[in-house]
Amino acid sequence: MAHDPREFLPQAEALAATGTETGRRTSINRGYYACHLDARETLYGPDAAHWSESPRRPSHRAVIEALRDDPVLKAIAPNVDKLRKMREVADYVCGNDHPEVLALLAKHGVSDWEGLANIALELARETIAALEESRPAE
Amino acid sequence: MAKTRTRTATATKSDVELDDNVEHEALTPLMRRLAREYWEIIRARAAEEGIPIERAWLRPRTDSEGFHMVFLVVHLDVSPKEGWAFRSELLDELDRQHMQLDPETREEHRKLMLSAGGIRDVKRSALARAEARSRRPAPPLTNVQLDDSAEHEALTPLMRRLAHEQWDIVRTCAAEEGLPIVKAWLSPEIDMEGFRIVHLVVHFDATHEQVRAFDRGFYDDLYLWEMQLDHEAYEVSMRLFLTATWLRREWQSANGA
Repeated sequence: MAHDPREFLPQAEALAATGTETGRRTSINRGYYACHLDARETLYGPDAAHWSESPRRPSHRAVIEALRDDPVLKAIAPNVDKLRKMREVADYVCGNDHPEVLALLAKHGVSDWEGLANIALELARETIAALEESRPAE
Repeated sequence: MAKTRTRTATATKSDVELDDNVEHEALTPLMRRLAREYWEIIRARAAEEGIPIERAWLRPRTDSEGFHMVFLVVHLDVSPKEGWAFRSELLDELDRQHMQLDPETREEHRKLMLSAGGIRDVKRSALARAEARSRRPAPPLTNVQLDDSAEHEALTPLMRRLAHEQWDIVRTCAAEEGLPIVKAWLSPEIDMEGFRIVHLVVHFDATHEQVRAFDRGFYDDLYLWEMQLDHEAYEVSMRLFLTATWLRREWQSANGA
């Protein structure tokens, strides 16, 4: 039985609710991976089908571009790209006065990690709902 | 996956040709041959299923580590769900074929990605919007100017031109939806895979729901805009994203912010 990447979303919500910066940064990470993996599986099947034997599964950018190519999922490609950038900064940049953190806060019109984590959760929920809607009934 | 369509015995292949008139190092002779074989499978299967093909083209690219990838993009003139069902069946078939390839061919085959979707609803909606727009006076556009003053290697002349064209679509849709724009600027970056990315950031004095409604019209218009771009411009446009930010937030109101 394969793990359902959408299960990362309630984990992201729980982490954001801890009220700590660590929890909020990690929440963004889990929210991004819920979307990246759900998009990849929606597009190319569990563990990306014939890439599963390859060290190069479709990259983060390749998944975003495949969404962007799709006439309907095009609308959620920016969500996934926004989450990707948030995740990179949340995971790699520790200084809260670092230019990358300040630019990210300005872009999303918030002043702290609480705001970013809330925006990330809204984007992740919207993205997963759109992916669910796009899938044909079994 | 349940198959709900009936195959016809008198299937005729689509007249649409694969547009592979693009030069790129990813398009080796072997890759071109594989893409052509993919395309013939798709075309035959679409004919069997009675699915009209609108357009098909190759989109090659290379990441910062020199890893090549080729997207075979196919737009089908069916609903999104029909398009996705067709795509799922195709992927199953292509995966079966993949496993039968020799190791060298299989390695190249992994770099070929199928992007196939049903465009009928988006196209109808976009054309209806364009028609309605032509029949009514244009609403006044925002006075807010796009701040494109950033200097960055991602902001090539072509990317700047595309960003301004996309900004025109944004402010037209915003005016039609009555959404006030507070601020707009270009935010460039090089991502971790080495691609030049630009976000067209637009702050709306609106709720998330209002921005979602705006998105529905914007992405219909964006589809028509993208379909008239040439290969080079389309490829660059893949890395231009609208970051539509809503500034009215329920969780901020609840917190007294």
